[in-house]
Amino acid sequence: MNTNYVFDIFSNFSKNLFFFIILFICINIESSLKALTFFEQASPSILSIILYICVRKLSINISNLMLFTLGILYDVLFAGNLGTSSLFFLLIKYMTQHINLKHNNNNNNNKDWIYFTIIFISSFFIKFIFNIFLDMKIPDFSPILFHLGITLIIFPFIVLGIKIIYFVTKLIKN
Amino acid sequence: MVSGKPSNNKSLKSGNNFNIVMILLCLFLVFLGKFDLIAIRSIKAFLSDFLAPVIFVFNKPVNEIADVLDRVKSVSSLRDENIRMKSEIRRLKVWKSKKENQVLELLELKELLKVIPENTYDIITGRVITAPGGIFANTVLINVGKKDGISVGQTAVSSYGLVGYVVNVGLSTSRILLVIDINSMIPVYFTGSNWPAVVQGLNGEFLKIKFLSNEANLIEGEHIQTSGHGGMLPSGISVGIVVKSYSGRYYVKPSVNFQRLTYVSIIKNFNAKQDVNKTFNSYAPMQMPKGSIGLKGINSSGTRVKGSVIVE
Repeated sequence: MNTNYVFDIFSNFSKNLFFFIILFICINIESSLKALTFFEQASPSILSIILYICVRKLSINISNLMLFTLGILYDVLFAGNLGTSSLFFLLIKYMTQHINLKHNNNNNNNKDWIYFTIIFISSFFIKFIFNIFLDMKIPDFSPILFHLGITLIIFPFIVLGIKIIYFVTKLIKN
Repeated sequence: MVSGKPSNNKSLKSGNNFNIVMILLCLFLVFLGKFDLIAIRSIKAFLSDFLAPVIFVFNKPVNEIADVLDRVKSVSSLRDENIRMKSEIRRLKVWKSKKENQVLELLELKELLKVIPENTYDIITGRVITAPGGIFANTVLINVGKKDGISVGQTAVSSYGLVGYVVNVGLSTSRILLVIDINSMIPVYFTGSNWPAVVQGLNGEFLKIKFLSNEANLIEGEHIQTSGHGGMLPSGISVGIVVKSYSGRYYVKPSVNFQRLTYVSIIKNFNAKQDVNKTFNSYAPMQMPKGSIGLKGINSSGTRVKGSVIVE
């Protein structure tokens, strides 16, 4: 019994560490994308896409503490206002777990995209309001709109990529 | 933790409570961060130092890809570039001959007026580790820090002009707030008309012109340089050029391409007040710093001078 408990703790810890590393890599990729001319204005929020997919599609309950830590690292990396990104990630997780819309459309891909759009834009809006409140200045809207747009455009491609990886792994297993 | 969705109501409730606690903690941190405490700044600096090698590793491949893309782009436009360069060389040759005469004239005039000699700044150059920040902040991290003599407030320049100033210093890394950041405000003057103003970043491509006199008539393409007002930044560093938007409003386009920043130089020994006091040694009509003697013919130590001869 005791051995099982210790094993559970180690198992959970290793899983958390693995997810932390993956999400941290996502942050770094997001930061490095700004070096490309196409993402000169703003880079897409890859981490929010991955978070959404983890919580909604893969049913992984990512630890709040991990999201909080990742948010702090994100703010340090991008020199943003400390705490705003943690709040943003926690809101994405919370909304992804709790928002459910009733509609007749059976197309899963469309449904996912609409869900993600609602969740991402509403979480981002809260973060945006916080930043305006903290800086007491209204920033230029073009990078913000580009960031929103490019994240929403890139979302189906990342979902497709994950589906292909899943399909290939399944094939190899078979 | 990473073990599927909560299976019963009890765990769901405790999870929700924990969520609320974490959100409250974030809010607390947001307001704590705004107070700009030394402890918070130190933690940020330590984390930047700690993460710098990781960031560098992740940025390297993307930077290389960006470089390759740029090279491919430049190869495709090689012919046009060649024609443009030839015409530019011709233009520069004409300018060079004109400039040589003007430099001699300027030196003579400076000698006549006993102008305070310009200081040679002690600079240190560092490599940029990160691409310019996110959408709410525009900063870059460089690989020189406290151990190289960097401190908060020092000016960062590149070969094209003003980059920004140092806002946070770690042991081996420093963070530079770019001029395009919303929290950056730079005192400038228009080189054509000599009007002073302040330019503020917008977190976008251009800078906003503030506190400009109503009498000023802006010209598109006019160069803007730092005025040195406030004593924080040295004067005469290129900031950008005036551009006109479709709506008819004037903005400033920075002279530095922040996307292509690879090396940044930090001016280490700039201190406006100290330098003027040290070098003021004539009765030329130069403006004296506040709190010092403002009489013509008397230097900062109170001795009457005439040319290079000290009058007893």
